[in-house]
Amino acid sequence: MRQVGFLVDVSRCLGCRACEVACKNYFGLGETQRYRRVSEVEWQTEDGIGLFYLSLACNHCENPECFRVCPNRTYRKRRDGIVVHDAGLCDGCCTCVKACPYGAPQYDADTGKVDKCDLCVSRLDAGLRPACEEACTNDALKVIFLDRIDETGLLKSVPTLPDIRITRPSIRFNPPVVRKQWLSKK
Amino acid sequence: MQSEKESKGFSISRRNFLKGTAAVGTTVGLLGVSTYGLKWLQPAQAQTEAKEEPIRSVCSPNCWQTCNHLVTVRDGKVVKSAPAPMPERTYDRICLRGLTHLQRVHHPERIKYPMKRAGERGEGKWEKISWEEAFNTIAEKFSQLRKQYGKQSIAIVGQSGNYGVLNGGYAGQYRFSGVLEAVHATGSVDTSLSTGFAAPMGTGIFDAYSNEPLDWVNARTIILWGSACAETQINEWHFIQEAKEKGARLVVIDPIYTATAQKADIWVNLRPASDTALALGLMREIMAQGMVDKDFLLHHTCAPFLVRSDDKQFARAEKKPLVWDTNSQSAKPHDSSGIVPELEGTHPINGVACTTAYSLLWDKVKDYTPQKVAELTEVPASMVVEVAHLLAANKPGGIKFGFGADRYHHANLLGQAMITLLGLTGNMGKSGNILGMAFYGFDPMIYNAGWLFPAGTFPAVLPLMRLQDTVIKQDPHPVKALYIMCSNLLVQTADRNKWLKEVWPKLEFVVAVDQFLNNTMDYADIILPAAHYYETEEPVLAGDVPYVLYRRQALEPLLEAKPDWEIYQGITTKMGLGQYFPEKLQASKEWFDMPILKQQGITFDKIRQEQAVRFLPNPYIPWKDGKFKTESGKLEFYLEKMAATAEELPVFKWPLEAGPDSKLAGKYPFVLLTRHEKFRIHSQYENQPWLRELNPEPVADLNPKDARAKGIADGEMVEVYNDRGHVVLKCRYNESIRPGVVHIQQGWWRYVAGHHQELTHAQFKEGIFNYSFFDVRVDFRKYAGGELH
Ligand code: SF4
Ligand code: SF4
Ligand code: SF4
Repeated sequence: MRQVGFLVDVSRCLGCRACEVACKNYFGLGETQRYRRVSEVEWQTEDGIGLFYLSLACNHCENPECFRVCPNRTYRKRRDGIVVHDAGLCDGCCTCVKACPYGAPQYDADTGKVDKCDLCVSRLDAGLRPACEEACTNDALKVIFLDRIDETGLLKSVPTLPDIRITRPSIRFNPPVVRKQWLSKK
Repeated sequence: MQSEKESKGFSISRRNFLKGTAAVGTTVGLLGVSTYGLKWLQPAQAQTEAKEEPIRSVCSPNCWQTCNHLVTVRDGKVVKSAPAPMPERTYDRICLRGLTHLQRVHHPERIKYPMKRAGERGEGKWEKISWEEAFNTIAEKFSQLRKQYGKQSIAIVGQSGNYGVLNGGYAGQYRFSGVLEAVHATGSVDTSLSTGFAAPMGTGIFDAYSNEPLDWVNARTIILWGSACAETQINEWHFIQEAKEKGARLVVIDPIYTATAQKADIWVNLRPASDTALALGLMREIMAQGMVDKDFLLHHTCAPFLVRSDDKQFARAEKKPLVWDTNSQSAKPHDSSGIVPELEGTHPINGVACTTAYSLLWDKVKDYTPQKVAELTEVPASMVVEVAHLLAANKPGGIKFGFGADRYHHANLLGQAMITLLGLTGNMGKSGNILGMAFYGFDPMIYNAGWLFPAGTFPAVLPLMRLQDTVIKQDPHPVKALYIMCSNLLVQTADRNKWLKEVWPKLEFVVAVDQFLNNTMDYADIILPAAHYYETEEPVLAGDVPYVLYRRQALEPLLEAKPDWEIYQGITTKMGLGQYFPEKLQASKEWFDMPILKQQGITFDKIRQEQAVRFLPNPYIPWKDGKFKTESGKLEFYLEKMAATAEELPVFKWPLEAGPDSKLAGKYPFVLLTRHEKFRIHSQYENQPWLRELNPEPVADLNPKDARAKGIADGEMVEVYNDRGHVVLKCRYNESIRPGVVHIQQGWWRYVAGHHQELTHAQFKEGIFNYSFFDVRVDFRKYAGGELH
């Protein structure tokens, strides 16, 4: 099975949010929709506080919950594994919004419909890189073909990512570098 | 620390490491700013269709990244910005701010047409006028003032808003002020540290003195000093990241735990304003341990130069500084062949005791033991030692400075200390070295100074920070009118109350040119709508990329906006001086008439076609021949001309306010830091809806301990104040701020009340005109509304 997905280098990521804004730019999103979101994850170590950034959009899951629950059959999984949503069929019931563990489908109050990251399919189809990947001049975000890459050394999940067993998200991570952080615990 | 943090393991950050958004899995909450009616975007989604030809432009605010953008325009609307391919793809670049340009171009609040004031200054009442009326009014008023008070009654005021040659603050603007023979008030920001840093090399302060970023990947030790590179110069970060991945060690020196500091191997959390003490400590350790690069010091620096004890100048013969030759046991000109100069020692020459510059340096630094430095800086002594050893032994490497450390009174001494430190360790001229900052478009080899003054007349250049007193005292120039462009003057300069209460009442006429009604425009008499970067065509001065850059016009200026160059044309034509502002292509072509381009056969047509053309060797590594631009050709870290003020060598002094010795320390126990972060470049992009979503409103970042001590809860309103003024804003608990510091992001236009620039001052060091924006003490208290301070 073909499966396109994302490779995220959480330690390399700066949390700069260029990917997030590039996505808004590409889809022309208003304030209620953020198809890609960057968050900070921190953890307590013996030395202090560890920290990395996590840039997430739709994970184009192998078992997409959105697809399973949508009463209007708006979701479709393409042959390359990309999960697309047809906003034309959407009545804004938000069942998928509640079901997706990753907060990927986003409700637009103005149109009364949901939409989400489509991995820039029209760009991919035209041989271009997705807008987020193109904007990450720091190379922290890459599109990969899961069926083609060697996954040795890559992680399927990182801390704070919701349980991946339900939907099997098409995302991989370079292992976070646990570097000493300098603000110590009180 | 919140209780959920006590347990080991991961959790979503709630500690506000300078963050602005929600956590995974939650949708965005309600934010302070509406994205207006941006739904106009929706019918024209931003997919760049294969058949569409994007136009190549340049984004050029003062992040000095000068990113080349591919701009897609559909039905007269910008729908997408994307990074354009650069000659070396490693320089492909864009950032979250640049990605919002479509919102800026089509922003509903853009100034639509020229306007004149209809109420009192600051009242915000405007009346539409035509460009014809605007040009006439300005030309008439300028002519009348010139007649009555002289040509220098007009001050052209500029800052860093645009690196465009025709329409920006660094070339075309000089042409305008030169033709008018007006006062040209500019600079005074980022200039102190770089003055001290550049002088020993004999270069200008923003010259091409560093290796280019693509070579930084070869560094083994990188010190980021007062630089939040990962936020402010996002496109330089990946070079540092690549060096790290190849094993380089990263040291970040910053009193705030920034996103950049989070990436450090060593975060040097120093007390604000103590940087020079740290630098002296690093030097002392390197010298005491004999870790200096003796060969480099003897042959490429002034270290062996003999300094006279009487006048503190170099001992000279036939104008050449002398060194002590150990072979002949005599003083010889430093460049004599066959000599072996002595590094340390004192010898009498013609009856005057002369000591090597190196020995004098040791005298200055010898007391800065790691223990003493630890007391001054609050950095552990062992860390001072560790950093010194890295820089001296884990080579090559270098220091990249930001301008955080520049914002204090004696920052020139820090710059001088940094370059001396780099001289001691001898990294220069080698691959993997970083010297301060990569900056290429302003070097004399590629900056066409001849283009600036076609009339043979010149402006009276005035450091911007002297403008306040110049207007108040009408001395040295009788300034009655300001023409402000590329500058949000009242947001980006200090002591705002002085501007409004003492300077403004003396001004008969204020013209301001911008795209938005920011907090400076409020106080103008005539406002003119400026074109956006994407709406102009012109050469662009490069920042940290080794190219000549050229911007093509992606769309016609919207509404009635005009490029600054056309505004000059309009005004000067009415004054009978229009011949100096030719058509833009002609003016652009003339700009590129430079030897360095001619020698390489780089024609205007090629530049206009390719838009980014390398003019420096690849990789660009200056100082390879070990020759500097000083008179002796050596790195003169001993600055003879500073001997009068006993600053010939770097020394540590606490600045005016921020040090613990300040007289204000009791009354105002907190130091105010107003740093840059990722959501703006200075005050540009302030009103961009997508950025406001991530960073909705100004906050005072406080260490929770400090806030709790005053009974202030997270999110409550606080008033930050000192004798000069106040600002009212929300408090945010933020553990990345050290106790004793109040942090407010710089660049916000407006607050609930007051402004952070009311708190700052415009005191300068004689000869070094530089705003000390961080050299400021304040206190804060809970704000309950009502009566303000
Ligand atoms: S653009 Fe890259 S570095 Fe910046 S937040 Fe996104 S993934 Fe991270
Ligand atoms: S991340 Fe959510 S929306 Fe995307 S495919 Fe998986 S379940 Fe569906
Ligand atoms: S704001 Fe600076 S870094 Fe961002 S796109 Fe523009 S030039 Fe590049």
